[in-house]
Amino acid sequence: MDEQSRVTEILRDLSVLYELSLAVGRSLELHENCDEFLRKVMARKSLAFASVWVRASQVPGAEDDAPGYRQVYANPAFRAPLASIGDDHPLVARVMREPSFSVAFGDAAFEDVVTEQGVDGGAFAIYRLGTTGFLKLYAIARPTAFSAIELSKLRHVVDQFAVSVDGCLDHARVRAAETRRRALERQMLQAQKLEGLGLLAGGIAHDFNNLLSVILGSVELARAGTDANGDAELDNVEEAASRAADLCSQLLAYAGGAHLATAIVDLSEVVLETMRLTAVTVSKKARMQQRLAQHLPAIEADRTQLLQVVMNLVTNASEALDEATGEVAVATGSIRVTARDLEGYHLGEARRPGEYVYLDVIDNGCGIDAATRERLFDPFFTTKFTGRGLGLAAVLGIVRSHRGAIRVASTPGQGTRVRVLFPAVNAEQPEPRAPLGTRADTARRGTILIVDDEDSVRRTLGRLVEAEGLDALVAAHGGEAVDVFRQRWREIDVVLLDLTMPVMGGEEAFAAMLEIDPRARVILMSGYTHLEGERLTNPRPAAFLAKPIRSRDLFDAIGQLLDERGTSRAR
Amino acid sequence: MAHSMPASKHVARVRSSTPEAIRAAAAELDLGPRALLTVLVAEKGAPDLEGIVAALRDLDVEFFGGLFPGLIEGQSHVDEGALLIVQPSDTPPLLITGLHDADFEIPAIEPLDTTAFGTQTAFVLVDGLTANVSRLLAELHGRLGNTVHYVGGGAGSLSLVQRPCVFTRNGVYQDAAVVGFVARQSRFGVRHGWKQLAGPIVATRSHGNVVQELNWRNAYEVYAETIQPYLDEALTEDGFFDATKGFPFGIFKEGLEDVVRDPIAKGANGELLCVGEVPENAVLNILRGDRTSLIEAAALAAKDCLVGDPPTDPSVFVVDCVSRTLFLEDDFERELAVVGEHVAELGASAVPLGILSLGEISSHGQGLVEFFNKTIVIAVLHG
Repeated sequence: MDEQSRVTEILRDLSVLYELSLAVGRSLELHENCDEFLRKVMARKSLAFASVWVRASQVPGAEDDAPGYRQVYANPAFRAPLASIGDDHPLVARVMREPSFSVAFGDAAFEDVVTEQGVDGGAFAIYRLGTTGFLKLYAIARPTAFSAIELSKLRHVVDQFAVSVDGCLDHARVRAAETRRRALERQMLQAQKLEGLGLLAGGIAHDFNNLLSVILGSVELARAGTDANGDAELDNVEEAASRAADLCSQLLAYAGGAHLATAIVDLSEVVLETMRLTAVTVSKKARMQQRLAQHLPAIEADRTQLLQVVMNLVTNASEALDEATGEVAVATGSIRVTARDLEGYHLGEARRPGEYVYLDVIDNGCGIDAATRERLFDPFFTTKFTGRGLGLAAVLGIVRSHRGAIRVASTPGQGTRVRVLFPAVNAEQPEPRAPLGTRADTARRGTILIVDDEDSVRRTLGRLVEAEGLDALVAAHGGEAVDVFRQRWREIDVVLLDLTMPVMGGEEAFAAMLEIDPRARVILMSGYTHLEGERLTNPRPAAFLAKPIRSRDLFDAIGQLLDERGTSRAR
Repeated sequence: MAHSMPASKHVARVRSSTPEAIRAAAAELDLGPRALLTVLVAEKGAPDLEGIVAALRDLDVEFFGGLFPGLIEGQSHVDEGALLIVQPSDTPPLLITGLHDADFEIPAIEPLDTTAFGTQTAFVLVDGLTANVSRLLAELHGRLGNTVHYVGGGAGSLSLVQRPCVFTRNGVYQDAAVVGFVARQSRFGVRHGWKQLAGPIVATRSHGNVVQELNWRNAYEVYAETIQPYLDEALTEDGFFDATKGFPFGIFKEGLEDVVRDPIAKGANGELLCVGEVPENAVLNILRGDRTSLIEAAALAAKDCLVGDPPTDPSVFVVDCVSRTLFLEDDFERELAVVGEHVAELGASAVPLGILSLGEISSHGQGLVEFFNKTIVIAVLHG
């Protein structure tokens, strides 16, 4: 080779190295990075195959102590189905000994380096990639091994490629760590949810078991006849049952599913009423202050639930005063709220900025630390030694169901400020809902069909009805009720129909009864919410009663229907 | 009217490229259950490709094909009519569309049976004026590697006006490729005969088939400076195509002839438009050829195919760049004659048949599949 040819060859080699070096590190994605570089190498060096192997322990997602090496890139991919080799593979031993080497078909060591399919000729050039792995290049038509000079020509650019592979693996590890962190966060959130659910279930069980203990104990005492009248035990049962009903009401409030008997309400009036009611229950150490705005914009709310909210917050504030004498201030007012103002609030359905009426309950008691604030609205969460319940959880449920918002700001040792927002409305006072009926006349006659799948409910209602001098028929599900109604509809004056039953539910039975007698007088009952019954508008039942049913409500409803019966019969 | 050449039920030469004539000729061929019909149509007379596809669709046979500037028939070439070749196949032709879009997708390919037939042969016909041909070939190689040998070329018109030019029984397509998988083995000779005039030169700025900079300077300036001393007249924009047809680029490929890239036009800003992609930072040479070196290369390509044991039942398929006909002019028949003389030793059945193409495709039978320019690819199919 003459001097000119030698210079031309060096120039050409340098130019090829320039092209190859510019193809290194074009992407942080491992496959793309390998592809950009190795396609060029294959094209310029007339190669048929290339693959990249890395230590299994460095492959993203692998165990830190995973043994052996894994193939992370192969072109063409079909040729290299073998994805991993052990540390004891002869290829690994050779790579550990030599930073680069070449073997050709026919060499004694050729079979040691073959990890691909269909290799029956050609030569391999193999380069160690730093401490990460190795690179295999294969020329299918080459009869002899790559020379030391040929291997050296690529050495530096391959070293550069090794660094880029390390960079890609680091990048993948960082991304994998980020993915793991997010997964852990999701798991923690899930665990917190489950913990909350456990707390809720445990709290409900605890409170109900206490109440059931009272009821069962009182029933036993009544049976034993220790009290001549049994009145004391019955009083106990009634009180416990009443508290159980309250607890259910709180649960529904927490779930935001309680029946809302909404009306146009002046919040300041409700607060005044509550303050009168709580005067005897709040701590005597609390100096109560009221700053109630007059002529507040109205809000649409369930007055009873509003009372519950105010009472709960005022009680909590007074209890925060601990042993010290302190101040509890209750204030109302109206405010225009921006979207930014709503940040930091627990929000109801409506997250729109606009005109709101606020209730502030402020104390200068012990305050609440950040960890406690996080769990303040969890059901049955309490910092008090005694007393469990739904307290603030129910308050949150009520606020949400009123499309309101609540925020707690507190500094430990200085006090707490709770602000509740309710959307203001500009509406006229609606017509009050007409009462279902009054128990004006208890000496009515009539036949009541009682339909409920719970035997105890059927029995209790039957006895109550009969005690009022009415006749009772019973059925255990909708199908049976329809059969009874079909046979005796002329003598049945009122149907007490449970909504949720096996075989045939109340809704279907109701429709069937109307087909038999379009004037059937049906009172629907449910252990869930009023909303369930109230969604039935076509046909609409004569009345809806939510369980537990108090006898007064029951006979008010029955009485009104019996009166209507009388009127219509008179016609 | 159909004339078979050679007299065979597997090949038909049709003088007319009307749908009726092509269908009639195809119907006389041995269209058995494994038959794959290759339909190669010459561009003269503006053949009705849609009509041809509709006519052939009546026959119970898989087919694929394309429109080309010319056809090779023995030791001569023609620019009208059609060539029909029936070969065995167990895989329907593959259609790849949307090649003008860099994100084109290749449909799933079933693994080929290499146990019964050895390495099969893939006939790749691609719209020669579309983009991303090199990427298409790289993707095909990535999927199939060397389980097949690749041969084929660029379809289209010598006018260099792009139009729908490849087809299957599903229709006629532009910016597309069709691949016919033939259950026969093959040997290849790939040569061009262009020699290095200047280089190395680095394509420091390029995009697809447009070279914008050479050695960090305006591409046209560098190119013109290099070839001007070898031209009889000053290089002008109007005379660019004629003057440069003898001075193509060669992309360096170690141990093999350069992959030729033909600069066919100069852009407004001095960029050079080539047939086929020039990767950015690729090492180029500027090549020069003469009639003798090109014809000698064709002879060497033919000889390359003859290396090894005598093949059984051989047939010869030639893909020759249409630019070689323009460069060799009357001597092009000599090139075909040389090829014919060499492959004649394979027997009477080994009459060269093929296409004049806009770019040639081959894997050299071994490494990556390449898209060449100004090159002759000779395939001997056997078994």
